[in-house]
Amino acid sequence: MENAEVKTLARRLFKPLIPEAEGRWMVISGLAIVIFVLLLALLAEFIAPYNPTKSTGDVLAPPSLKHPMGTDNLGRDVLSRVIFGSRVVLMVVFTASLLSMSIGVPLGLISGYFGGKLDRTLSMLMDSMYAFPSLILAIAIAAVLGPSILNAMVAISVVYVPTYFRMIRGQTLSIKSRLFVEAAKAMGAGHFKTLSRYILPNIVTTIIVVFSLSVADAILTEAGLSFLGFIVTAPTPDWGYDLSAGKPYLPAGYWWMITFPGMMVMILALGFALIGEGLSELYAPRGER
Amino acid sequence: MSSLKAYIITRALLVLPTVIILLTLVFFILRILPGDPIAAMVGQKVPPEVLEKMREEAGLNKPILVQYVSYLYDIFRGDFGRSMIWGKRPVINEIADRFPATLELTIFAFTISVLLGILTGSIAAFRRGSKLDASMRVYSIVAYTLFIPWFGMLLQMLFGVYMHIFPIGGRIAPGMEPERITGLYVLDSILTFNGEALSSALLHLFLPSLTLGVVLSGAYTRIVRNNLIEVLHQDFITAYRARGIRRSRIAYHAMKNAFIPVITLMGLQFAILLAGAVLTETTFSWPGMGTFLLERIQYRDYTSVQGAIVFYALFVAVISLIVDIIYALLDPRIRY
Repeated sequence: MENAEVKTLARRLFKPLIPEAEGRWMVISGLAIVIFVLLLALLAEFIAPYNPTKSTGDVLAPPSLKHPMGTDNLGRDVLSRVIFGSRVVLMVVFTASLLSMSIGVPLGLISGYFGGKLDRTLSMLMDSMYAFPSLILAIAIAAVLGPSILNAMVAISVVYVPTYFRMIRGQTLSIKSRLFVEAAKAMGAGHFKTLSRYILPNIVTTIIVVFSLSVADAILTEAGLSFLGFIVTAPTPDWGYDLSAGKPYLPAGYWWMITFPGMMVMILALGFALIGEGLSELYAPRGER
Repeated sequence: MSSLKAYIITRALLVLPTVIILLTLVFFILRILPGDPIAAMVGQKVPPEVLEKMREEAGLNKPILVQYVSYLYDIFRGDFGRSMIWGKRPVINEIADRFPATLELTIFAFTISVLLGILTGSIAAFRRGSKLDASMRVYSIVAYTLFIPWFGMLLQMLFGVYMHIFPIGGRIAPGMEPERITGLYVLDSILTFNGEALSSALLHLFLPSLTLGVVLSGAYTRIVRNNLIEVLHQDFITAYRARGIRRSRIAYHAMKNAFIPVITLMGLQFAILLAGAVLTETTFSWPGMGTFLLERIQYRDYTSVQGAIVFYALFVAVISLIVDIIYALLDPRIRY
């Protein structure tokens, strides 16, 4: 890439740092949330007051100074489980989203750039998949593959390929007809060079926005699959799974077993949604807001 | 032939490839993914001869192409096979038992989400730039990120366990079911003048449809707000203002024009509605399609699982067709 191009791209990417930019507070608060949860996951051993899979002796104890989020039906500290629970969801969602991105983005680029029969076939396939309820598709795949963390990653990554494909294909279509791409081609740039040097840098911001938004959605899908029992088995802590474990104790009023794990799902999804929404506002050309 | 008719016919014909792609996808996922679906679902503990018998029952011992053709043929005849457990009832009958519950839930949730979305979105648009606008925009993001089982359980806790206003699960009080006409309890109890059943059904519907409705409303808030702002800037609104037409009258005209994109969103939201219904049904022990699918996965009833997913695919295709036709009726530009 030319120096000037790098600079323009960098300016666009780092626009969130400009103080007066609209949508900036969304990106900053979203980032704060995500970094907070990442730290929880990385430093779980040092932060968590108890072992998340061992009983502390107090069964179904309400929140107190000793157990800020109470204990569950097996006497395990809910706070410790919430802290350790961030690991599975982050791992599953990041791996799955990177997988769907690495399939969806190239397919979208190729489909939008070359057009023709390939484009029609791929678009039809992806549109059909997109129309199908994502959680139900993920349930079907997870049911066939069997419940495990690895299979959940596969199921979730399949579900989000069409999201990347559709966005990237659309962007590629609109960029490839722009003058600078025509000029590059006229000056003898091959397909690969046109795609990688002229089109790709122009869709980087779209990829980042789609990534943040689809991660937010994937967090809810992961939690849903986990809640339905398709990801982890006892005693592994995972927010969705812990929520379903607390469900039978709800009618008796043990609110702390469900309140905290579910709240974390929302907070983490909100973090990524805020980043995505804020960035899309920042990157949108003037007038499209 | 009118352009509308031509449009509807073309659109209806286009459903066929979509349906076939979806059915092929389901077939592919349930069969060609690594491993044998029956073995995967049953687990390792079953003796091989039982496994073989189950595969035969499901028609999984034939060549894959033969399976595929007979699978498509059966579906188009409306034959979804027979359940592999209990009375071995036809799967289509099992679905007919469960589907009305899901339909009833989704209709109510959908209505709540659209009404909430229009309310919050127009508040934001008419008070653009105010604190109220900002809080409505935050609402639209937060509502979307609410985790359905969690939000549902919080409502159960508040209104069910502590306040005893609403029941926390089921479709109707035991033994109160109205005589079956459509399978939709609310409609059936109205048709049979059964007041007790009606109030019980509505009480049971309230929390699940509120849960799903609130979560889905965020997307409507945003689209209503953005469209309304755009319409409010158009010349005809300025002209109305200049002529001194009442604010409420202007609001009415602006809303009417801002509504068309909302219908497109309704079509797009439908898949999310169905996916959300699975979690809502599980949270509220609602005997619909979602709980049916999960229950049969647990019982390893392979034909029922396949039937349920195929049914979802057909349902999605039909709804997208209906939405497109409504869209064409409302906006003549689409037809050409």
